[in-house]
Amino acid sequence: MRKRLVLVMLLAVAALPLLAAVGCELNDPDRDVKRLFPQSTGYRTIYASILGRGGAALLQRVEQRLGDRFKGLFETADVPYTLYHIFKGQETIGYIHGVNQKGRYGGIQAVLALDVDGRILAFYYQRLTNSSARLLRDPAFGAQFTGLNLRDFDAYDPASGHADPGGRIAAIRNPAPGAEDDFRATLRAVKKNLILCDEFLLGNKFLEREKSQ
Amino acid sequence: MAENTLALEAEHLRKVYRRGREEIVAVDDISLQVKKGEFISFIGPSGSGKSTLINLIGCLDNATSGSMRVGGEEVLSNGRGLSEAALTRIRRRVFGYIFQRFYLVPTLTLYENIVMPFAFFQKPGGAADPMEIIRFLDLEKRLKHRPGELSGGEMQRVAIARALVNKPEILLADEPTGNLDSHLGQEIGGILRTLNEKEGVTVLLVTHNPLMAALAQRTITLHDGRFV
Amino acid sequence: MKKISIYQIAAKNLLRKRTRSALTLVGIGLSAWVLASLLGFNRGYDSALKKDIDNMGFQVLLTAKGCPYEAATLMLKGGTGLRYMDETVVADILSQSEVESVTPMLMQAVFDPERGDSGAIDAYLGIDPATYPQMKSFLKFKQGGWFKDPDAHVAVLGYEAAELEQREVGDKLLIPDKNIELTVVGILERSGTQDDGTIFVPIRMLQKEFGQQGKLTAVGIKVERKADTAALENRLYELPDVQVVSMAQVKNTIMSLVATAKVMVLSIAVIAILISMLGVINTILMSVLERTQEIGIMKSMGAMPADVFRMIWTETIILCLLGGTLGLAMAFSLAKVTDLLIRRLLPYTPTGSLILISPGLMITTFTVVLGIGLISGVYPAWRAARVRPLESIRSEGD
Repeated sequence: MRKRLVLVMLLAVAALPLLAAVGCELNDPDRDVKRLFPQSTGYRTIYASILGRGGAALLQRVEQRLGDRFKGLFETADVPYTLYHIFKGQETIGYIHGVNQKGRYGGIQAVLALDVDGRILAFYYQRLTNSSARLLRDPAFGAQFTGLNLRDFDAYDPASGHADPGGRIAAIRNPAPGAEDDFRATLRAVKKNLILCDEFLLGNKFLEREKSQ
Repeated sequence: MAENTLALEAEHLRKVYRRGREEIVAVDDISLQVKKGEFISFIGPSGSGKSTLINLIGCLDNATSGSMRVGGEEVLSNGRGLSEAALTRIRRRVFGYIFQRFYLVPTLTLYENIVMPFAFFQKPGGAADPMEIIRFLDLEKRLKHRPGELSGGEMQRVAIARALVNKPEILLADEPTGNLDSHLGQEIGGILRTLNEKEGVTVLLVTHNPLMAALAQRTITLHDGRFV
Repeated sequence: MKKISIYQIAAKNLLRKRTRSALTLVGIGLSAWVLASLLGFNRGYDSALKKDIDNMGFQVLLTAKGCPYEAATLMLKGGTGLRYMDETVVADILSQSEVESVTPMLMQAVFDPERGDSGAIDAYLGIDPATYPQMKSFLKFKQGGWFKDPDAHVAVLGYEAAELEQREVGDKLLIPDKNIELTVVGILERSGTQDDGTIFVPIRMLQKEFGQQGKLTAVGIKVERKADTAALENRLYELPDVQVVSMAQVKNTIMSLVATAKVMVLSIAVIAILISMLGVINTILMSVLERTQEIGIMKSMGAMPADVFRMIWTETIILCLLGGTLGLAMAFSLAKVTDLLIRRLLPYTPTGSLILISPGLMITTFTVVLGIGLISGVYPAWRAARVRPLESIRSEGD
């Protein structure tokens, strides 16, 4: 009887990816982890979804923190997020997380590597379809994100695209003037990415600070 | 004697076994008449043929030659016996058997073991009431137990009860106390005596124990397949 | 007075050696499972394949000679090796009496350096909005609908194609290398076919942008209901530089491939059944031989040979009934797992459920298992019936 139950549960789990929305996984985790964290010895993959972790209430909080609603067919509460926990020996040295964002001509996959305090160590596009794509893919663009954390993004409103002047976000240059909407989409993606990391990995370290402001 | 008072009549019974080129005569020209209601015991040393004789008389085996009438029916004439099916019909009407080993079915309860014969045959014109037999044999309290939980004495009493449910005319007991101690043996012997005296059951007992043999009205000694 | 019957005695006899009975039961259960799954597979595969073929919409497909007509094969070949047919062939086909309607198609591929790690092929299927939607009328839309204008820069996406690029109605799509912008006007619901990953565009627009005016890679043909498809196909073979792919032929080819697999699995099922039969005979026979003394006693109590036969036979039947029930329960509940297993083994599997376990099928399996019981039980029961009381009851000494 127990064996049958286990089998049934396995089947239910196996059927999930077929039904749920598409998430963002690293193309080649072994290679990508080593590239972003050369000193790492291993990693652990965690799956989480807003629906699974807190349901409608969590969705509402995330939208509030983002300053924008979740839109469309593919940005839903049941999207599975893939989070990578990076280790050196027994110690956690950082995280990797990628999010899907709707871009002008296709999906944007914005991947962040974070340290244990939630500060961005690296940013890159795993996917970006755009005739100006080359320009945005330039490492110089991505380097502008290094050192930023979620607190810096408090000053950025994705809905309007407005960044508080003098803030670190306002300082980010868009190297592709013909791709303004993808640039803004990227900023939204990074902010969403950081919020989800805060919710799923950092135990809402930044939430208290937001509230106190 | 008038025929209708005879339970069993056997004439010139002979049983010969062939072992390779050897011929063994287990029963050698035995004739016997058993009256209804008699209690006869057969005694003799090992190899005297008493068990073989009881098997022949009890229709468990066919003799090599001779003739036999049981309950008024011709069972054996001039060495030609009945088919297994016909023998079965006679057996179940006339005989009840008790053996040294109890042969109870381990997966059935005591009660089920006792009424098992009814699964195959119920005597027309009245089988016994199992509960009466159970009370008589003092087994009431153990009805739901399985043979594995019973003592040797209890198991033999169950076997006796089973042998009685179809009200046999003749009760055949082949070394019934062989596996029991002397105290229990006496108990069983007493039961047989009571059955014979109170119920009028014809009892044929095979034993090597003189004390048991003495319970009968008539004792026949065997030696080398013959009456002594 | 409470009595006990031969059947009750038989049932209780099975409890004597529980492990042995249980193992035999499992053996029967497994062969019942195999049999039921096999029969269910036969039915399920046929119906799923038929559904897939029907879902293609057209019965006959014409392609340019040497042209891969599947997007998947196209991607494998790296988008090269495309051969073309001339558009005029459409008129030729329409002139055939058996043809109900025709839809022209053009497949084009572009290399997209942005996709994946080192780029991938993007494929676009140009279709005629006047004829294609009618042929595939069962395709349902999640958002929007088909385009009407054959020259417009628009696209309809299969669900998975849309999901991959997070496209919705109103969004833009870029054809890389050509830098052509398309507007998404429709997103299909999942159909479980190749259409899920396809990007549909108007054929005339595609021909113009890719410089393939007047060219086609395939033509889908819907045949009149009562028409003789074979005759039509023969005539189509006459057309120059054209390959005729009959869906019926495709189905037959696949079916014959699968037939081999079916025969193999059928043999396994038969062997499983034979083995479980031997297991049953062995189990019951062993228990009979262990019980000769008891059987002898029963005969002395008045059991006729027929009674003993019936009792032992009942034991086999009980084992087979229980085993059969177990096997059917397993087949029913594990149908999904068996489905996955078969998909691993076979070269081509249609979408849709591969195992169909219907009530009729369960009855058939049950009957077969019962038959096993009846046949296997005969020999041990006969052996038991033949036991002579005396052989089994011999006291010591004499």
